[in-house]
Amino acid sequence: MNETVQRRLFHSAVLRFTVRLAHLFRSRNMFPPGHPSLELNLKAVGLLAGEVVRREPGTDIHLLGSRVYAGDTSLRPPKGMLRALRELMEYLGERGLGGVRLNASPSEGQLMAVLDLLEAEPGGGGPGAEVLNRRLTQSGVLWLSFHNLRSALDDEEIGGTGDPALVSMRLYLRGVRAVHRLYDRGISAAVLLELHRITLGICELSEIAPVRLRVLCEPRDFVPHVHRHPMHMAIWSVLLGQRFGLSRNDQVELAICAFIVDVGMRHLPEQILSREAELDEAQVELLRGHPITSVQELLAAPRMGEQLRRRTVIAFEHHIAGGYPSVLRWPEPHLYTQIISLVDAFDALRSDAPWHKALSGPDAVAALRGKHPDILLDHLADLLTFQPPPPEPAGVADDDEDDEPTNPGVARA
Amino acid sequence: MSERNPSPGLTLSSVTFSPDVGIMRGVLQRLAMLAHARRQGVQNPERDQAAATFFASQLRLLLDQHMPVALEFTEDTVLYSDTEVNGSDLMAENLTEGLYSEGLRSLYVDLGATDEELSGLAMLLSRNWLDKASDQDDLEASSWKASFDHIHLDIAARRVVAATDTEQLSPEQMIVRLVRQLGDEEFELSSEQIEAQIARALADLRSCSVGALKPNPELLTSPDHRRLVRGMARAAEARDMGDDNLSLVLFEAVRCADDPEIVADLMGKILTHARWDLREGRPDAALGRLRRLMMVADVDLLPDIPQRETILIELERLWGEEFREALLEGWEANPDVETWQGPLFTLGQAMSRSGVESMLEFAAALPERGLRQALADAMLTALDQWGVTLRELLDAATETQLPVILLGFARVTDRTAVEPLLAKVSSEDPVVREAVLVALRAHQSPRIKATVRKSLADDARAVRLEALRYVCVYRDAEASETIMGRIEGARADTYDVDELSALTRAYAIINREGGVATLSTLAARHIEPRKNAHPELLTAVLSGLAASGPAGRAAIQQLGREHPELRGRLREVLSS
Repeated sequence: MNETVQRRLFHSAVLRFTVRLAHLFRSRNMFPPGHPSLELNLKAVGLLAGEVVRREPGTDIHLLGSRVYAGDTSLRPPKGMLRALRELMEYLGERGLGGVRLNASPSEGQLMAVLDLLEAEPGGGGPGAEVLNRRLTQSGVLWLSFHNLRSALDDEEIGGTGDPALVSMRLYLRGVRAVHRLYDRGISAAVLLELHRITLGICELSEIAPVRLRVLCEPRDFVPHVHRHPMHMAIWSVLLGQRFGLSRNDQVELAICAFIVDVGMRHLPEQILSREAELDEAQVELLRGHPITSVQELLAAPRMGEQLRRRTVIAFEHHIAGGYPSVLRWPEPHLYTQIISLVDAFDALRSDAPWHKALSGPDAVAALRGKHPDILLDHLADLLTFQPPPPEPAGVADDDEDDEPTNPGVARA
Repeated sequence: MSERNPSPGLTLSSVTFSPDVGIMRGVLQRLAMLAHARRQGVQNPERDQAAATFFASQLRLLLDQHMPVALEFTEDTVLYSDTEVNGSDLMAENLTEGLYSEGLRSLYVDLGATDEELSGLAMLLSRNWLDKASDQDDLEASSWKASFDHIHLDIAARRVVAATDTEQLSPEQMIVRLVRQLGDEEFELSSEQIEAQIARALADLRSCSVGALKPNPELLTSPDHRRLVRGMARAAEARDMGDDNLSLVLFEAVRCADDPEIVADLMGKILTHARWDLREGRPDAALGRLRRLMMVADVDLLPDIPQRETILIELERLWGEEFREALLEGWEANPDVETWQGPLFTLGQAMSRSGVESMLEFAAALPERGLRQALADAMLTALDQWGVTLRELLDAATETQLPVILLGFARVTDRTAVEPLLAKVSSEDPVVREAVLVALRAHQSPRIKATVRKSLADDARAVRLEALRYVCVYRDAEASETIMGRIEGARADTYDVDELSALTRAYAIINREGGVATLSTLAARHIEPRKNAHPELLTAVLSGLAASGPAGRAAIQQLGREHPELRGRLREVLSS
């Protein structure tokens, strides 16, 4: 019998064991000890537990929503099992439990000992796995131990899918990953869609916890500057764009522009991108040609719609104020360009390079005075210092100030 | 193979989906069978390849309808165009379950997807995700490593710390797992310094307070802030990012590039975009991409263009086969002569001497004379640069190149051209005959007039109308009799009402007030429809009277007094 079939049989045994366990707890409440129905369930659970541990000793079983987890594998129970599983989840949950670990096949007496232990606890969310496991050990029950409810249910715990720090870090690493792909293979439909998803994530985070975004933009060496820099530009662009009343869609577009404006740099030699040594004249010349190669890259995209038009213009013009490319004449740059040029220069100053030491946020803003619009620099400086307001005490009625919209730029304008 | 715009855009909100759910059901069914077979663990590369090829070919069918493919995954369903497309058997359930448990929430396949990518997708999706080994990559990592350029999988976050982890993981271990989930192997997470940075980053993120930001109120009330907010609102409406900005960028990018290869590549891409614009019936946009670049030919205007030669060589490709195909396709999409004339005149000036012969043949075959004339005018402006005269072109032209050259003669007054023009008036090609008459409009002589009068009875409507224009321009009274004969003898199967009206108006113009009396009599005779007369004759005659100035209008009013039943119709004629 091949491994796949074995796994299927194992998963089937886990599901049947879990459902039988639910039946057992129910029949324990319905029938007195010794009743044939209870006996039957005791026997079945014992047999099924035996089957499970025979196939995989030390099996961890968790209940989460409508799913049963055997180890890390999510099992989808048939619809007919869902009701029983919900009951079991509630029964365990009332005692602070989220699952069990099966170490051996129990005898009926050992099973009854566990049932009695659980029945002695009236519920209400406690006492939890640690207390009950200690009591099990003291009673000599070794065939089974319990898992905490928390580890199975609370996804905002450390390491869960909703762990705020990991959610932020995941978003950040996805951004860096996308930039890496962008610089490796150029603009593609897939990478643009990924950037779109990432920028949506940035926008969401900026509304919930903007301080986390600021933390993410601290220069950190575990990501190369060339790959983290566009992500930082996108984050700062969103934070600034919000100040000026940009809608969610426009924030996304601004951030995508920030991600891709320098895509032409992907053709530059590694020595230039790595910022490991001061650039010689020839390298500076090469660097100054990248807005043109960025336009080249962007024009490879199909259909010159509004977005591509905007992105192409911004990619070309966002270094003009810095002196390149050397154009004959130029109108005032697009407002997105002004933001992107600023955050580009700002984030570059925040990282170490052979030609300058990394500056603190306020020092970087000060260094950029006179080169970028004051109002943008003022907002950037404000973003560096802001802290969210302390939470309102419970029961305090909202006053006028609390009604202020989250996007004050629009309202006040 | 004709060039196509491969994507209508990347934003999902703007995507329209194919209604062809039947194909998609088949695709998923086959995929489920492949996944089932692979779960059985029997190695059979040929079977896998055949299934993947089928999957790719079916998706190709959908993509060939110029619509990207988007699927949404829920816990037990797969949705395509809001329709459930997964089957209800165990194989289909296992496929959906496996993919959902790996976090797959949506799948997007862009039009440009290659067969290799589609086959790769089939193999990826059909992997045994339900019984994944602990050292096997997640779907997210696997899909990222597959480096799809036209396929995007939206995958929900998965736990970094498993429920079964008994020991607390260090921040670095968590990031290592996170990076592994993401499938990007470029991160270097080894040194102690980096570990410390990761730990600090996670600690900082955990200690961050939550809440919306409150900007400094003084900043928000400053005039500069308000100005910028208004500017952003304009930017959002894209009023400040028109074709002109782009045209400037394209010009400057080409001008500033010092590498001929880059210039050639940029020019190629700009021309491709111009072709796409043409295909969509937007010649103005196509012109917008190229107008400034076409000025590069003028050394006096733009003396400092390092790569001028390369630019001009690339511009010569403008009127290539693909461009012409795009033009014809665009004309089908937007057959409005006025929209096309201006851009064609300007773009036509980029035609090269070497390609002029084929260009003339192409232009001659254009369906509207307005388009042919625009290109003829463009050709005239280019002749000086080539050092060639129109007459030389005419002498060397083949029959198929003639129409546009002849239209060029309409813009010059070269009397020596009259004889050659008259010689062409009996051409078998009606487009040539029409062009000759247009060209002859610049000249008059009894011989020319006599020739034109014969053309009033030409078989081709366009030629007859052009002849009418000529006799109107020169008020050729000798044509009156012919015209009246044609009006009275007109039959519904030979003349439409427009041409009949053109005849009556021409009669009125040539004969001035004298014609009014004749037309009034004719109208009175035809108030009651007459057997064998054109059914629209009265309408056409009234139209002719209306075009005859005050006398004609007075005649119409007189008719109204005499025939009150006609008043409504007469008012209509007068108001039009």
